[in-house]
Amino acid sequence: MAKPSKAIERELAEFVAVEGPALCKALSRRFPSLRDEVEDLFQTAVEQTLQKVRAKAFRPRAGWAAWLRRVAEHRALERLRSWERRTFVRLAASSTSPASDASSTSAAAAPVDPNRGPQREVLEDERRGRQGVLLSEILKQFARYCEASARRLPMKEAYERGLRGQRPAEIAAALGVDRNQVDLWLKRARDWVLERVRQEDVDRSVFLTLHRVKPE
Amino acid sequence: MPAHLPQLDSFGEVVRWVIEELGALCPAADRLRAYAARPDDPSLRDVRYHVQEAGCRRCRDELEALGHPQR
Repeated sequence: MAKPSKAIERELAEFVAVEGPALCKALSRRFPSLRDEVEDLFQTAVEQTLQKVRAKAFRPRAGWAAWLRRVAEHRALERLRSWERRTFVRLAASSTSPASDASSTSAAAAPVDPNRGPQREVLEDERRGRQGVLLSEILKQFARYCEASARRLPMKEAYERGLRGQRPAEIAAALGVDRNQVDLWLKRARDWVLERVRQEDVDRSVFLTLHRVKPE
Repeated sequence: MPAHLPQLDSFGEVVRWVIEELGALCPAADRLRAYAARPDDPSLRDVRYHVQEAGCRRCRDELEALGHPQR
């Protein structure tokens, strides 16, 4: 009698043959930065799933589409987080170098400490390289913090609107509240993020860019 | 560097990218499911903004997978 895992393997192979292209297309839409790698990511997801099937006769309760999509998304997010980390270190280094472009980083440049000698510079560079927490993680933590209390949900919306480019007056109009309330929410959000930035040792220039005030 | 990974040249661009592509401000899964069931619920106003007005691709795909495609 054939092993149960063999039957499941065949089921998976048939599913991939029929639905694989559509899933890859959906992944390309979801992660446009990775559209050249989507097939590799999907193939990795299939191989990992196959290992589980062979080891434990695994069959996902939510169905193959949902399972493979989740696994492929995890792989894609890992790839993007690695890119985010490298980008962040590059930008942090360039924003404190004398040759940095003032027009592109003027609002984001980290304040330069005139008392910082060469040894301190080396230590700073090492610190940035070791940086463990990403901006994406801090913002996610902020979202979860707001969702934990109904009172904080308007602050989440106001902050997201601000990060997406809306000015405080526009946010106030959209939320049907007065401008002072929006200013208060944005200040609280910024303070929360800044505190987390301090705790996690993320470069302060992230904060400065996040909270660049748009002229009214 | 793979061809389509963005060359992000300012922290502002990084912020926009992590929101759009890494889903940094996406609602928690249970709130998105609640929105699928009750899109007009006042307590899900922030989710409505995120999905309808900001047009988050990730959340719209997720809602479609839940059987609630967004216009």
